[in-house]
Amino acid sequence: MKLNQECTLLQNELRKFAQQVILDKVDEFEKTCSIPLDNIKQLGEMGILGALIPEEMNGAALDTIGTVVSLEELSKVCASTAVIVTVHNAFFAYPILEFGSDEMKKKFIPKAACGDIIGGFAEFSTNDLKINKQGDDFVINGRNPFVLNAAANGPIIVIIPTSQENTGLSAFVLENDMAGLRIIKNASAIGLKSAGIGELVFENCTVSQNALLGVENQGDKILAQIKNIGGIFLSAIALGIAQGAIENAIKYAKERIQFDQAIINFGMVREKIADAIIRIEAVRLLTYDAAMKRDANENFANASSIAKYYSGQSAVEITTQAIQIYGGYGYMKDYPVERYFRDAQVINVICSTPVEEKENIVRTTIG
Amino acid sequence: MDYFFNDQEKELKEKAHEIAENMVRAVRYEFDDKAEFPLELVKEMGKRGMFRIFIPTEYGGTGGRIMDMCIAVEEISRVCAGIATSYAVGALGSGPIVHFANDEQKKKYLPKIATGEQLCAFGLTEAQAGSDAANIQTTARKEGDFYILNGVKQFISNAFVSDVFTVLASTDKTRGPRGISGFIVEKEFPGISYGKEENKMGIRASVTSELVFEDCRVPKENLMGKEGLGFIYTMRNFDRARPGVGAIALGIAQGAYEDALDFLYKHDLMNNQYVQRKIADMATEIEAARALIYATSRMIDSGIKGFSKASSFSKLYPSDIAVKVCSEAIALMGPHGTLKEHYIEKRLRDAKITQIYEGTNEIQRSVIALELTRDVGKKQKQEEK
Repeated sequence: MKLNQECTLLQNELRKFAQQVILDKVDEFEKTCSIPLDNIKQLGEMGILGALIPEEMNGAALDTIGTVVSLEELSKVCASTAVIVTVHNAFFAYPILEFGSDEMKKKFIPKAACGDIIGGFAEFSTNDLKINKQGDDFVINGRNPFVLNAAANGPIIVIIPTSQENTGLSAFVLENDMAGLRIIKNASAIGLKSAGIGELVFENCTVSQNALLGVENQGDKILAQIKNIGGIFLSAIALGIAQGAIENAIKYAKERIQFDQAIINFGMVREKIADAIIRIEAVRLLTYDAAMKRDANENFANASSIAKYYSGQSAVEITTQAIQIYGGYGYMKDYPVERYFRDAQVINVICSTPVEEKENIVRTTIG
Repeated sequence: MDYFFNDQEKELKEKAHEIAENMVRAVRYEFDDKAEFPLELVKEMGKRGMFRIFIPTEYGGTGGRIMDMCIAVEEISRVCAGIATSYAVGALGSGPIVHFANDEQKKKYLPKIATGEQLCAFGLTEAQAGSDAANIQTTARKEGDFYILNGVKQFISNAFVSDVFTVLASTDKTRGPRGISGFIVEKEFPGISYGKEENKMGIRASVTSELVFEDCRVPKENLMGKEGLGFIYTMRNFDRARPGVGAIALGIAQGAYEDALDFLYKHDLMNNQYVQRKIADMATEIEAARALIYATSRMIDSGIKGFSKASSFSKLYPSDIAVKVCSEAIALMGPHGTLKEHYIEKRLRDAKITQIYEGTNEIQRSVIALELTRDVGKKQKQEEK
């Protein structure tokens, strides 16, 4: 699969940025569970935060494949950074662009394009909430402990079951400082410690129709589209994690001497590397294919689900084996692979679980 | 499944279960967060007789059966594998004394280990001697009535808190593995200090650090068994200890599976056939791991010789299953599964070490393959005759 010149330039730029700017700071952000705001700001200046936003709204209007290679490069070094960018682009800016009113677009998009605001996302299930309708308004109580970009202090798109039937979802864009809404920054997920994942609590929060994105009770369509495109980006992140983990493990295996030789000479280590390379190549082809289908205006739902499923599972497997190559050292926070392992677990379930993706694959295949 | 435990085993299982539920459950995240050794808790476990099961009856124990160790460790680990490791290290550290020390040494050390008054640990690994365990650089030089130990042991579980260590050092470098000897070292001996404390992904309630010997004077009567046999003792001790690592892994898998089932049932997901397929496989694999551990334990306790391969089986399979079950439980639960409030994230962090410590699973596979090669070689030679 040949990347065009624009794509290759972007790839090189992001690789340099990840190596020269992000790498040194990863451990510190990881330790303090804090969002790498300076880095995100710089990514904004590079246009990455407006990847999906048209140029007339200050965006960079990248194609999907360009965004994919950018995320891959970022997540080779820091998956949290790539997740912040993905959530902001695919889970926040994209649905507003696609379904928002002109007023909403004007309000959020130009600021989102340059990174003045970083948007978040949360999907609620009926178990999480109690909702009363008062006139046209919704009065909401409940919580969601898994909110993406929660700690970024920006507006958050919430998907909420507003009707009794399971299909009755509605999407809203909520300001994080509105009355009755509280964000708890706890980074309690096993991984992505500096991605700002947190908790959102509604306490008698009144949400008006003004905040509604698209049509009431038709949020399932919005959610499906977010997941289709988000799935491609998350695949790119899983790919970067797997690649980053195995590159580190290979480097270590060349240096580590046991039984009077570098452990990379041992067949059991070589087999792990071979398995990783096979999976990584397959994941890259699947992910690029899904991205290129979207760029060619083809239906990409099936390709996105396949990529998301296989990339997530592969990231989990490859990072598990990368630690194994390091042995005891891999279990210590002095080395990066344990972070890749923890990050992979979260990537594997963000947006959709492997079970859900398998079902999506069947549904979009058999029609 | 019913494994036909005798009354004593049933009683032990109940006791361990009760300790795990009533004493460990409430504090398991606290010690993980702080990466602190639960000293009081471990001492209390000692008071309740939990260390006695590692020790023979003539030295204040209840027999030192591998089966008992596995039953107890599994129950504690089902609630917290970090605290289970803190506890189980006692078996690994006391094992060489139980099996290879002389009667005087046993009398001196084992009764206090049995009551938990003294905690013990085991020191083999070094920076350049991980999987290549025979490559240790720590030396023991004989000077009059003492051996003088010099070297740095790495990744030593419970080092900070232990009173007694069984330590491997080379008494004759020219002889390689056959020049390695075992020593019983007390923390008060001059020349011992603790080096770098490790910051681990999991089992954070089990403190891990370097154990440093600088001209440490060990009385010659603390040589364990014979000079030059230390490495062999260690390998034999590992053969006996590995089912215990399997039991830690098994406890993790069992706990994760129970948590996952509760979650899936609450969220109405048990009717989903994708989910059914996964949980049915998990249940089967966990039971297979348990059967393997128990069968190996019974085999070892029967007193037969040559159980290296079975011992490796019962560490390899349960630890692979533990990581798999935790990871798949998280995947089934979705984003919720990744969060602290559902606890499985800690189980997964803990589970990963079981594929690594006491011989990585790659070393286990090598051990198994080596034995298989020997077996098939023997068989073919006999057929040729």
